[in-house]
Amino acid sequence: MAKPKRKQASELPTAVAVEPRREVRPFLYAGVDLLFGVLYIIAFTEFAVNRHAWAKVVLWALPVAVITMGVATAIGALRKGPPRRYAWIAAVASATLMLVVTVLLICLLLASAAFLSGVYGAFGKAAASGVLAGAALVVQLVGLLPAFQLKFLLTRAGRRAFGLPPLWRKPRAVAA
Amino acid sequence: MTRRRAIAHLACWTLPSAAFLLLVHLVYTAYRIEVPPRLGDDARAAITARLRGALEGSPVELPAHAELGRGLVGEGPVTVQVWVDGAMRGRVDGYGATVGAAVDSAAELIPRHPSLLELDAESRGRARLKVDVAVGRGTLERRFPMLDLVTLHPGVDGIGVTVDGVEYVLLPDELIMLGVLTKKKPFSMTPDLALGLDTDKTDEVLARRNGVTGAWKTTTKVGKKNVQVPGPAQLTWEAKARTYFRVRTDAFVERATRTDGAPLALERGQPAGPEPTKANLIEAALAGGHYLVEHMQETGRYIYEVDMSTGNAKGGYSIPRHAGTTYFLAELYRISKAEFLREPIERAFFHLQELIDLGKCTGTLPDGEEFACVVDKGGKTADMGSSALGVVALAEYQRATDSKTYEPMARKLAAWILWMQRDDGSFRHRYFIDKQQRDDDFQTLYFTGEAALAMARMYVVTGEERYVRSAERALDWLVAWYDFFAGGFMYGEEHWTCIASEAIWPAVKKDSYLTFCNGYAEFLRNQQVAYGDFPSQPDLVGAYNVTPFVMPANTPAGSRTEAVISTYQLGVAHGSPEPAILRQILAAMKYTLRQQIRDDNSYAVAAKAKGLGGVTGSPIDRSVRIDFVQHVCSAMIRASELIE
Repeated sequence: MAKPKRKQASELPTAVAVEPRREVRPFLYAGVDLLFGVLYIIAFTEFAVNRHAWAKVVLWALPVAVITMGVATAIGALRKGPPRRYAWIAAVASATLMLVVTVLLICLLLASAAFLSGVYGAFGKAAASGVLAGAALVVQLVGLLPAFQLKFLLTRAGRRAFGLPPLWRKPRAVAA
Repeated sequence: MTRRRAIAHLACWTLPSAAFLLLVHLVYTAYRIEVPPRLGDDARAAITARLRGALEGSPVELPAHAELGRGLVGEGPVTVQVWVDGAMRGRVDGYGATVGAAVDSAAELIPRHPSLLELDAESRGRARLKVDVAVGRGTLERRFPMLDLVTLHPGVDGIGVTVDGVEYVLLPDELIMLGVLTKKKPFSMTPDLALGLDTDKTDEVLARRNGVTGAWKTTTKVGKKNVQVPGPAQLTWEAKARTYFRVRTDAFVERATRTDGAPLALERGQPAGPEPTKANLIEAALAGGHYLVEHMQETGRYIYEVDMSTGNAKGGYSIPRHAGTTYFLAELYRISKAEFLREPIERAFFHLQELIDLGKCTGTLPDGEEFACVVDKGGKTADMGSSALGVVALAEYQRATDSKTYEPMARKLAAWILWMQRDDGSFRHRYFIDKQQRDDDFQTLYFTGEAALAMARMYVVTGEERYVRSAERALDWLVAWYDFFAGGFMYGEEHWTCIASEAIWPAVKKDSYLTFCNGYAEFLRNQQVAYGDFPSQPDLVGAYNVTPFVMPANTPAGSRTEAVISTYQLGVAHGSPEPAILRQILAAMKYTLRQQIRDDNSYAVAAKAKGLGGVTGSPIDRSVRIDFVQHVCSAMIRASELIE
């Protein structure tokens, strides 16, 4: 059986015939995303330079993902037509990637701290403490932004900002 | 937007920031000590001429000079110390509204000082006058436990207290000599991190100057433990109304040869050092060699550590450092061919052989080869560092002399080192002598790198393949050790690794060693103090330091430079030397040249310390340990080879 075609947002009936307030959150998120992207680039070229190629891939995934997320969010909020759907998909994918990297970074840092603590005495403890502090900061510096933004993207308001229908219909009251 | 709403918005966005700015401004101005520009050559010369005239009984008037007319906060004091043969023979504190008036006041006190009156004419002529003009005062914060750790700028701030209407001042470098700086350890996890002032000892010194007598502490029994509690002197002192303050001084000292120029401006009690030229570096390295030879006993054991202020030897001994220091002497001999080094080096080797015999760390390996390891008197375990650096020293001496006298000894030690190596290239770091058992658990930062260097050097002097393969496997393991995520951000103490990487060239030519060492050099360079980093502490330029709150140790400026020199030479061998590394080396050498004890900065070094050529622990640590001299002077003699 053919899958029923989902209606576009513009085809959906509106409850109240008033001009909807312009949604500012996509612009705020896009701005913060781009700011984080710049900060990540500065951090990974100046202050937290890792010399292992595989670690660089993990770290540089962050600015790539956050900038993609920001650009996609901005496109979704500004453009009209079909690109908005792809922009939404790109933003969600980037946010998801960032969350995956967050978990990966925490795992890598915890493993590093355990390794240092296991191998050495006082030096290991001091170094491990530093690494653990880093792991604690990863949530704030990397994880919070994509978590909030992903939450927004998945809500009705987020979808509406991209001109898309909600992902889930509101549950209807069932008559007795 | 209404006017009211606009004002509310504006206030909301600006008032918090304005409040924070005001808070910062208030705290900053409450604690900041603004100091005027340093006194110039002419003013310093005029002041010391006036004071020397007073000391020698031939009064000289102060000339009219703008800098002498500067006002003094709190009327000074101008403190004059008279140093003879490294001992302070007398001190006067002159007060006055201007620099000139305070100097005159101090000059009038000098002829009346009882201790100075006892000096004969020859001693007065030999004495060096050190002058501290107090140019600023500030609050000494003692109320908050964490702030208490950083309330004093080490070596820059002095302490004063007003009690019974009289001021007593401990000058910045007096606090260094008393050993009361950076004495608290706020984090038990990092015992090397020490901050804050030893307020108890400082108070005791101030109380004694105030005339308080009696026991400062008494011992009482609490349960089964003896506990120290405040004695009558401390209780008397604490009962007095006291007002503490910080003080900054413009300090200078007469030159060792006074005719050579104006008195030397001091920072943390140190004048500027020589430039890092080839001649100066060689001279300084040889001075270090002289220091170590002077501090070697008849037995071949060094006097491990000496307090330069008192000349008293401190306790402790380290055989890896004994061996490392002898390695430096052998290296210095190889490069300089200075004959005064040869007999002491052999004496130090004799002591190593004596320790091998006493420790009974000898035997035969399963393959029939004889082995030996070095252990200090009474030791039950042998560590890798003692034997590895022993081999490095013996091999270096063989390189220097072409004599094979010590090769059998080196071979036995090397056999033990090879036996201690694991299949993965790393080394076990400890050996239980009685059980004849290798310890697989004990691990330290340095020993694998030292063992790698020992193997590389053994290859150089014997040409035997097994040594170079051992060194290569060890270096591969050391470089690959960092293959974990956080390892990509950092380096440990890898100076032996990079020295070994260069020592093994050209037998092993691996790009990975050069990449690793270039990265290590860059990592260190990022920690090196550059001009302008700490504007009020120009004496720290070239040192390796991560925060201005903690004083840099002098030894890393040497040991890390040794590694960086090897890295540079490895780069030359690969055809890609890094100019930035050369600049890094010279900056570190300029810093260490200033720290080394020489004629012009030895005014406060006790004669019995025989300190010339010694290198102190840090700008605020007046002790000299053999490895401080070893690392710094090894870097100096090797750096001299890089300069045309």
